[in-house]
Amino acid sequence: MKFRQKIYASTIFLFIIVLNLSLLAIIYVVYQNNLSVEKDRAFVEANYIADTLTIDAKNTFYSQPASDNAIADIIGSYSSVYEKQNTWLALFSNKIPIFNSIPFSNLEQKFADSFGSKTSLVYKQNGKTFFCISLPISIPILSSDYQLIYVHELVGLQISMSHLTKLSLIICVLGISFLSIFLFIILSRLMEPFNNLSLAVSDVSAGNYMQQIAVSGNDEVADLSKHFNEMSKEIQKKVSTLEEAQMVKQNLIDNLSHEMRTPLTSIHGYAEYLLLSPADEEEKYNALRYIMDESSRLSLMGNRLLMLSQLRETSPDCEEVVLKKLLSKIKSTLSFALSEKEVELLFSCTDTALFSDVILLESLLQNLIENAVHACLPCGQVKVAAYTADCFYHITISDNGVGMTEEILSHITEPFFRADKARSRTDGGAGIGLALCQAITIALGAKMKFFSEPNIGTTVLITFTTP
Amino acid sequence: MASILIVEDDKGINELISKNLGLVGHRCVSCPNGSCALNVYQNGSFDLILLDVMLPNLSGFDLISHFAGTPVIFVTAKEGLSDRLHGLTCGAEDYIIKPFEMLELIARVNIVLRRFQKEDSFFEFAAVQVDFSAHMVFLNHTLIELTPKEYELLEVLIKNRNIALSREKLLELAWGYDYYGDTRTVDTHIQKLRKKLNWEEQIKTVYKLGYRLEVSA
Repeated sequence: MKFRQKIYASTIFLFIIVLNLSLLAIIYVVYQNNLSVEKDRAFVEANYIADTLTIDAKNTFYSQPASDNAIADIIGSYSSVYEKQNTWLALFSNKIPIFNSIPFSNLEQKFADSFGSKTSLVYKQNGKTFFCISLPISIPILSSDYQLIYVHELVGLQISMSHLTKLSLIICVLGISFLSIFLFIILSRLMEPFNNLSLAVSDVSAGNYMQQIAVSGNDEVADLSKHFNEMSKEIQKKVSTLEEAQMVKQNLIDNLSHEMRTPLTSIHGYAEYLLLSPADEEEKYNALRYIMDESSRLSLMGNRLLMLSQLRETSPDCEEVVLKKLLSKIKSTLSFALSEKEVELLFSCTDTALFSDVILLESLLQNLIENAVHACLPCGQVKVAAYTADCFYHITISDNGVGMTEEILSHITEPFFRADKARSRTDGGAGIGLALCQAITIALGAKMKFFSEPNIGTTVLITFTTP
Repeated sequence: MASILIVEDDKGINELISKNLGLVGHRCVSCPNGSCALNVYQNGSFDLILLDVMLPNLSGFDLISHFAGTPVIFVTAKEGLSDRLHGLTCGAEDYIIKPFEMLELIARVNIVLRRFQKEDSFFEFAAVQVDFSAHMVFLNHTLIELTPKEYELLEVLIKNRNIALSREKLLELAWGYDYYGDTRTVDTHIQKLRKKLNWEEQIKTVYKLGYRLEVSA
């Protein structure tokens, strides 16, 4: 609003100044023009009077003796006529007035010094303007210095000036009123897009980033609106990304919290039970068993998390790896789980050596094979194959177990992600295993890809980019 | 003694709750998931259900609507405000967060049972009979005179039987939180109870922990 008021005020101010100055200039020019016309006319008339006086004096002096009085009479007769035309005359003889019809006094002082020459001036008194001419005349026969003073009231000029002034005033007032009203309307119209833009912007800044502003026309406001819409879109995108990241982080924390709380509840609970209740040998054994198992679980999770965070800093310690030996080691570690579920573990490995970090590789493969065994139904099969193709070393681990949907596949390497929403303990861990595997493959400079179909099985393909 | 159904998928915790409540005389049935729970619930009658929220297939929030008519307490690790509010507003009587203390669990269970009048009004063991509603205690059917504090202490011991209670805890439960006295008063009262009820063997002194009323199931 203030911008509009600024424009409004400055426009009106400028207009007033310009209008007034123009009108004043016009009035001045007109005045000057009229004045000079009047002056010229006055000079002509004054000269005519002077000439006429000289001729009349000459004629009169044929039949009368020449004297100042005679001249005064002649002038007197002119005077009555001229008075009707707002003109007055005065005649001086040797600086002594012999006739004076001028309606105001002290005019002589103004002309006193210039007797003998032709002068003129404009005299203002009581709101009336007079033009006075003083010229020397010579009267035949008489030898004094005669000076004629001609005074003419510029009535016409006055009237036309007052008309002009009134007209200017009316023009001014009308013009300014007109401008005030219409400028207001026009400015309101013009400012509307700005106001709309301002409202929309405040709406967006309140959080409604999806709001798009209507763009009409092609002017600067339209451009601004367009750019603003683009900016809103960008902000919306950023906000969505941030919200998503926040949600992922929150999920992570929730899951970690759950994974820690559950074993702790057991450990704390059983310890309390042992402490406070009269338990017999069997109960003692069961309680302590639970405490041990849950502690191990927590320990494993802790180790994995630690490894996960340290992998970023450690660089792999590479050597020649005999894969067959590594795999047999893993097989014996998992022998209990394998026999319990009656799952068969088969290897088919090329003799080509792999250059990599043994410890990390063992972790990686054990994890993946363990997952495969878990996924299998009783009497299932897990096949591990290692081969070279296109100069790259590949390892695949396939099982014919429960498999996973596309949706689940997209999330499996997220820390703490569990396909089972209830995070049940019987057939699953804390969900860190695959996140760890992913980190290990990256540290080893390899790529890991999962292929799975529900009820058919899963295959993990690890490709080492260094031969 | 109430009949309680425990629905919790973690075997360890399920058994833990079962054992804890069994100590104080409740009869517990355990289920690892929703479908088993619904089955068991339909074929039996229960005074209270302890329900975990994170269950496979059907979450606790979904299941609760099937248990109308029986009070339900949620026992869960989900401690977020929105989860708690959801739990309480969808009809549960209480919402306990893991990990929990044994005494807290027992106390909350008892409160809900009392609210639904499923609490025992009578207790009998080793020749002693207690009528909770009338506040009367009998030894071999003869009325025994107990001071108000002695009765309070007896009630606390019975309600928390088989659990070792420290002197401080006994003071808190029987005398109240505002009592700033010495714990020796607990000892004297215990002595009196033992004498009056002939419970020298039943109220055991537990090394370093306090006292325990041992009642075999």
